[in-house]
Amino acid sequence: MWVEHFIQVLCADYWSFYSSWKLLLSALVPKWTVLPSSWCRDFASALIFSTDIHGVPAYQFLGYRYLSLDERQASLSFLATLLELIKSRLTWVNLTSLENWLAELSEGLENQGAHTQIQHIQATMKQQLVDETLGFFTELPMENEWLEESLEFFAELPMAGEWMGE
Amino acid sequence: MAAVEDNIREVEWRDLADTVLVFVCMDTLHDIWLLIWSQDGLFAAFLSAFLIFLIPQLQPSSTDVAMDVLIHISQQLSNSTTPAFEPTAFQVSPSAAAVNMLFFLSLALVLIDAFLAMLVKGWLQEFDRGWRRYTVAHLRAQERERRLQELERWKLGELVGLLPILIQGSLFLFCIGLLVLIFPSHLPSAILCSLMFLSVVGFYVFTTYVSIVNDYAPFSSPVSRLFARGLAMLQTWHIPIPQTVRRIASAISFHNRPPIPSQKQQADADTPDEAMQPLPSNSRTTDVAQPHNPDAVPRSRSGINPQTHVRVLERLVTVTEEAVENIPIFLELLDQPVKDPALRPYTMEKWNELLHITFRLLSDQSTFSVSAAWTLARTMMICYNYDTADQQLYLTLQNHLGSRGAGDEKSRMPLNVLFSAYLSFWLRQSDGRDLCRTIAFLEPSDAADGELLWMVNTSHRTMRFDQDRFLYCPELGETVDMYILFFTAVLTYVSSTEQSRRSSIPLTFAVIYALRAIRSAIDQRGINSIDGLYIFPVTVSTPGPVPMTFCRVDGTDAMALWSQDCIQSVKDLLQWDLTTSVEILTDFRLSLIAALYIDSTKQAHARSHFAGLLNYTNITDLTFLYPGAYDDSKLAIYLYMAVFRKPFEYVHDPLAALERVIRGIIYELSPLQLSGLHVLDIAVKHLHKISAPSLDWLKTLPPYPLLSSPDPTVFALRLVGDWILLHLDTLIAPKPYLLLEKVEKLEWSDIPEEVYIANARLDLYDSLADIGHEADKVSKPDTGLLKVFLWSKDHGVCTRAFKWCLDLFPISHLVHLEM
Repeated sequence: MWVEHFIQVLCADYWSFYSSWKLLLSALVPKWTVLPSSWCRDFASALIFSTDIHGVPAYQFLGYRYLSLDERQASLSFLATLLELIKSRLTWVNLTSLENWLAELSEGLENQGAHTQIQHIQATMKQQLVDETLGFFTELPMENEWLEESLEFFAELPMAGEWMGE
Repeated sequence: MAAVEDNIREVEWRDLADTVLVFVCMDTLHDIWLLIWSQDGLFAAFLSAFLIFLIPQLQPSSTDVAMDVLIHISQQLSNSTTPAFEPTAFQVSPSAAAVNMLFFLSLALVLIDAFLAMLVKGWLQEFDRGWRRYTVAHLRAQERERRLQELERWKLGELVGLLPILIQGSLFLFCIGLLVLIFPSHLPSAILCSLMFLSVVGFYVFTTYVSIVNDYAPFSSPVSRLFARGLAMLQTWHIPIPQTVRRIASAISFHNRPPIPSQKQQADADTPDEAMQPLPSNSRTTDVAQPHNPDAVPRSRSGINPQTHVRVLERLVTVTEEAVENIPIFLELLDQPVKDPALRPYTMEKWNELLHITFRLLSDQSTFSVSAAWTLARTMMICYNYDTADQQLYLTLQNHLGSRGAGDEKSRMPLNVLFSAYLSFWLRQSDGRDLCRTIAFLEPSDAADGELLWMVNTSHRTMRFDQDRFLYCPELGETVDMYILFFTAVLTYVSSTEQSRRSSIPLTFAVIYALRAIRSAIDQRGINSIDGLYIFPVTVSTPGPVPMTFCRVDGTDAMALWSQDCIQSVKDLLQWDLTTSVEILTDFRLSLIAALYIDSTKQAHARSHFAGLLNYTNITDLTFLYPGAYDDSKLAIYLYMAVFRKPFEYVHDPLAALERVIRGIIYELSPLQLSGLHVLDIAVKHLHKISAPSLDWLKTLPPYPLLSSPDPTVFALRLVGDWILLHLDTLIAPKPYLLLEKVEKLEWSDIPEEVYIANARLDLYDSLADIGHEADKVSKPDTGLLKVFLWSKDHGVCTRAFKWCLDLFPISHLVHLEM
């Protein structure tokens, strides 16, 4: 698939991260609305789900440190658009990673439109996952107080998201 | 200059003639009695007085006869038998005869001398009048030359030299006569006079002899010069001079006089041109070793020792302060130690003092010329190092020399900028990169060639860096890098200006020789093992001098360059495994190959050697320090040879040469080679620039072209690869060499050569887009090609292709491409 190849090229060279973001913002974003939705979904999936050898998603790997504040806001806005497209496929791991990454973003981006939008997506999807998981358990015959306490305990563990995703 | 010589000679001869006339005219033109009392006519008076007294001795005296008659009468009166008086026959006494003969001979010599003096004076006036009547310079010079030749043929100079000798001879005869006169009369007086005469004669002989053995003695006279010439003739004729005479001569000699120079040497020494200086010798052999020996007195070629030279400067500077016309002479003298290392002063203090005086003399801007600044810069470099540098002098000189402007990065640098950069580097005010860049872009001239030769010859001293000093350039790495950088700059100057075609100064040979010596020293005991002032050996000088500074070389340098020894050195240098930066190494190898190629085209026998040397080149990365120094067409030729290791037959027509280069590169670029593509770009772009129609032969290439070998001796055809055809499309747009169906079948393999070709094509698209609507008429990006580029792992190629896809394609195409 070429899109995955393209994302790999964008993330391949540390020194080209800045130009990669610039390309996406200057060339892809203006055309985004006229591109086929299937291609857009493929691109969003590749950018958000592709990881490097350390498991870091491509959109995080690209980094923001060399972008100006306006460019960061624009890139966050574009990222929010991508997330909207594939939010139904986000797992607990994806959401947790996104939450951590948002928390590490520098000041100045907080409480901005795109930032808030991403936070909203992240919170909504996380809540939705929790609700779905809890709904799954409530349908089980062994529901009792001990189970609720256990579920709460497991939900706080680091590997809880992975387990719940399965 | 000729007029000056004539004036000097005429004034000298006329003065001599006048002296002679004054000396003798008093005897002939004035009353003899008046001359007795004249203080000026000493000789004439003495001679005349004595002649008056002595002439009667040659005739019978009537007084004596009357006395004899009276005595005889008296005898007869007393004695009647006495016979009648009979006069006796007159006889001149021998002493009176001898004295008169000597005195008359002396007088005759004086008269002859007067006569000759009057004649000489008249002849000289005629000589002068004969050529001065012409007003046209060349006619005047011709007339003067003809008359001068005749003057020399008839030995007029020798005749003038005879005049004082005649007077001296006359005086000698007079003295002898005087002694003969006195001896019979009064012996004690005679002995006393004899002693006086002998002492004077002894003094005369002594002073004459001193003048013969010492050219600089103040007793020089025509007689001593005559004897000196006679002595030289005896030596020329190989007449043995007794050892005793030699020993006595050397014992009496007050000055270590150098051997009498030959006429040619004399002419060379008299020539003010700097070119006549032989190449300085290596300290390990002769000259420079001498100052280390306190017992040895170093001698310059002119035979003057440094202390004498400094004294001359001191004496001159005192009068120069009141006579500015002496400044050029003073500067010329100040420049001598640069040309003649033996004249370097023993102590820096005296030299420093002279430099300060010079600066004071030149404080007036109008007299401080650029050439004066050059001289002082050279002198400073000889006299100082960074420890003893005088910052005030340095800043003043830098101000007069000027420096390179920021905007003339690629323009040729004048010589004063070179001096400025070199002085700055010498005094550790800069790290050397500015100097090397200045050298690479130096305006070609004979003076620049000579200066560079001197710099190469002293490079083992100037390139030494003290790593503890803050100005040491860490990115230049090891010291050897600085040498390579410097020699690369010199070779770039040589090859980019084709110096060896214009000048007979063997800069290429000098660089090879110096690098070999330095490399050998570094490999063995370090650069400090070259302890002399100069790298080159004594034997570089040759009989054919060229008008150059600091050195005397001839046109036979090319023979030395292509000697087996030198060829082996070049092989070693081309294969020298250095840890230096790629740019320096590439430039060094390229400039060396280029310089050798230029020289090889001058002589047939060198071409095969050059072709053999190409096998030792190894240039893979075409990153240059000084690419702008070369003309693109020549750069393409040099690069073609260096990259493909193929000799290039010299072609006078630059257009034809370029076409041959392009054809050769296309033929050789299978498999692809990054450096080859780079060379192809340079050649085609230059061909585009100078003459687009000349690309017709390329435009007529059919699809799937077969190209014949560029070597006419080899019959071979080679199919040009698809990627090369694609690159030709890029370079020589708009003709498509690669058919559309072939474009679709191109396979991307991410090798650097394909990335290079793709980037070139994308650059073309970008440039066409910048043109605007015109681009639509010329060329549109090939969608099939962009699709190929999209699969590149190279960030630039992939993202740029993606951008073009977004700009160009309708949505339907984008989907169709299955991106």
